[in-house]
Amino acid sequence: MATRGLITTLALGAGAAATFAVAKTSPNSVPTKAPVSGTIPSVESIKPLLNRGNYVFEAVVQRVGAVADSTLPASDQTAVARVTRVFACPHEVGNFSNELVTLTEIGHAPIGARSWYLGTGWAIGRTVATRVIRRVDSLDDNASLKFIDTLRAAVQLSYKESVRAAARASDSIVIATLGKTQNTMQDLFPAHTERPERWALLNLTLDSIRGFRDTSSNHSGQGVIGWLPPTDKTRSTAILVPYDVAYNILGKAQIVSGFRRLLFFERIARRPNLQRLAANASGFVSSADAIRPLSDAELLGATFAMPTFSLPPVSECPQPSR
Amino acid sequence: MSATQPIAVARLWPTVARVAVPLVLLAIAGADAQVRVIDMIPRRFGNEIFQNAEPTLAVNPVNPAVMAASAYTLGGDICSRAVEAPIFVTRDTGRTWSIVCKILVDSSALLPPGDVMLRWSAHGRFLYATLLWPFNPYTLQIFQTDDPFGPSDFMQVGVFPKVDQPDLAAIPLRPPTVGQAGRAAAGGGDAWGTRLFISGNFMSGDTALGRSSEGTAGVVVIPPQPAKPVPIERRKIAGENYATRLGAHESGVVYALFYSPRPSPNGNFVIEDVVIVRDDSAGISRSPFTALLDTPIVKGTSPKGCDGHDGKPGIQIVTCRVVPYAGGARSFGFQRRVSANLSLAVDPDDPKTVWVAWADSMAKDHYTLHVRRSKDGGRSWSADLVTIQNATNPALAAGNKGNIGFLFQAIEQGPSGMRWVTRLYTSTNGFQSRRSYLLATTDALNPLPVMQPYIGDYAELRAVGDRFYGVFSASNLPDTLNFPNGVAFQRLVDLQRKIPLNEHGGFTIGISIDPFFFAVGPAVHPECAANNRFAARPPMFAMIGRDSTRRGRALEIGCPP
Repeated sequence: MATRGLITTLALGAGAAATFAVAKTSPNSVPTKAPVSGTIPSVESIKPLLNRGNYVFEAVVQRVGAVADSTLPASDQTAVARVTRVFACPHEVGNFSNELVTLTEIGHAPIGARSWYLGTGWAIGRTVATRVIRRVDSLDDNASLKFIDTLRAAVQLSYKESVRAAARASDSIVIATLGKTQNTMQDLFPAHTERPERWALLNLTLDSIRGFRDTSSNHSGQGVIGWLPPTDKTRSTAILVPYDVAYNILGKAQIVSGFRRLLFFERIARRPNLQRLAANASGFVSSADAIRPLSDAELLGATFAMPTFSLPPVSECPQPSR
Repeated sequence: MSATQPIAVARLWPTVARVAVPLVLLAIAGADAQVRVIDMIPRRFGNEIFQNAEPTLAVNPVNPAVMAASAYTLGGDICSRAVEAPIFVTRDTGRTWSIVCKILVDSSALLPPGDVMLRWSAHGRFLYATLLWPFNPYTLQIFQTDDPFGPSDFMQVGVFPKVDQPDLAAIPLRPPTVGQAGRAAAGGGDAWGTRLFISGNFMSGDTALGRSSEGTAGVVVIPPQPAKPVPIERRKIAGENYATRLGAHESGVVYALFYSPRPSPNGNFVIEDVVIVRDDSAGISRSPFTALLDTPIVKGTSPKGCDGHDGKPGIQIVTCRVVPYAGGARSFGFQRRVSANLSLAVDPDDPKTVWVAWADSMAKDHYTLHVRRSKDGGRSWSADLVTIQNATNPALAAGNKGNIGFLFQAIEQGPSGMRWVTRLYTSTNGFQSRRSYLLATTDALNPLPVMQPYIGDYAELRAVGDRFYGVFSASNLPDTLNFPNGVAFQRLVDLQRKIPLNEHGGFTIGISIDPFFFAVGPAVHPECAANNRFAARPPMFAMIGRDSTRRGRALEIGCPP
């Protein structure tokens, strides 16, 4: 039996005329008809789509029942379209403007019609093939501009939510100045595992730690979430980062020291084997996404994590002298 | 069509024929090209720089032009924001490859699924896959699809937690014999027309597999469903079996090959036996994989000694071999060494003829590959027919009429440093004589590894008749001298300046490990037929910079003696 996610029907936002289906775990189950509308979808309706697929482009259908790459099977669900503009594309694929693509959807736009497509990746060969999860037909120039604004807003919202989710999932949220990366940790022994990992040590100077400060006089738990200074003892620390985050494929360090960054990292105690690897490391990050631009700090809102680091006692004002 | 058109065509026919016939002949000649090597990363995937190690290959038995392959390839954003991982597919015998997003993973994936194995059903309708996902704990998943090129994901047909190092074999489903009918029918999977064998290192602590608390070699046979693993290691072991390789004959004879660890002194190595077991009933007898029994205990000898016998299922091809467990050291081209370097091939014309290859470190080198053959169903074995030092990733494939191929990757010292050298040996007489195809010779230390395995714990070779198809991973530096039998790149490269290009044709990406496909045809090279002196061509010939290719067809030492 296939493992398929629940098919959830979501309503489009205000002014939308259709509903569409989202396969939560299986983005490529074709039989569902992709929603089509002639109106601009709402920001909220686009957000979940951007979480799944990031092929966003404008294209003109040229042939129905055809494919752009002969490797793929043609059917009445496939069509060849000429891409006129690309608004989002995977880094590995790059811009595919002015190329032919294979679209897979039930019910295509008329041949010659210009439409907007949000799709998921399906096949990459000589050309790109996408499965359409949302199509917007017949936008005039003004509507196109509005749609771009909607997309931008949706992207921005999705980004903010992803930053907060990553922050919530971490053990520590800090602002730190990046130090030097220490070269090559050996593979974790024993090698008798499927994926011996390679890590590098990244030195940090902590500037601020995201935490909760109890501002009540009776320690009732009332307080504010904000940035707190580290103790002198914990100001200088180090974390482990995956080798491929620290170094490029030529072995050159790709983390530039001296810059301040927002970091979300895990307690080193979560991985005893890593703890053995570097006794002075206080945490680790699993991917480059955990080292973020400082500007992301503004997106955190009320998000915080329980800090790994001990915080100095804080009082709003010095104790009055007696 | 008007009445004049046929006349016009008839008048033009001699001209058409003069042009078309040579073109057709050229096309046929191209189809018979003896060696063809291609970098499988599609052009449209130009910014790809992941370490695409550990490739696997499945050739459709009904239409060998249709193939599927896999290598560590990040779905990244190309596959629905990391919800899926891709496989490679071709419809034209590997001349062009596409990646299709077929393997459902989850968005927390930092790595692609591991140990992907792909095989086609005997009737060519279904493509099966086994893989490890997620990694914590290792979970063996079994999938199938009847549309490898379409947009739908693989359909899951089985899940087994805590399993590592899977292998997969498929044979036609035979009508069960009397006494087995009830059991087979209970599975209800006969409609597939295929019986699957999935081997692995089962680490679940299941008492049925409890030869070791760390992991025991077992095999899952489907149908019947629900399936459960049966142990194939029947001896008490110290440690775990790790990888098991399968070889299956359509008659229902199935072999499994694995390392069997003995108590070993501390160190980064294990003392192991290389053991083969056999099943003659397509895995559905009451005691599967017990057809090969060791010689009974001999009085006055210890059954536990390296020369001892215990009468248990499983023939020890060799005993007490040193097998290292080592990370990716520079001295061995960054590739780790673990108990996974095994290969097994069954002669499609004779299920009693079986070939094995394994790696050990008995000699003073990193790794030595050994190839041996049995003609009596695994009971007795030849001496080494091929021995290769400083090599890994042995892959055997048996074609018809005695054709046997042996693919491996060896560390060799070249004029400019160490190189990973990928070779295919083929023979029709049990390697008494052989042809050697130098498929690639690439810098062993560039690019630097980002994870292990570096080039993979295995490469794969398939045989269809007298043709061999295979996949291996190597540096993608676009230097034609690295591929003496020619190479084609799908991705953008600058062959003059020897640099890979990004999707815009820019120079912003570096070299990386890519999967390469090759096809080796049966045609005898004219030079071989004309003059036997080419057989003495030194192996280094291509590596020192002289291009030994002739329209991409030359051999390295290639001619049979």
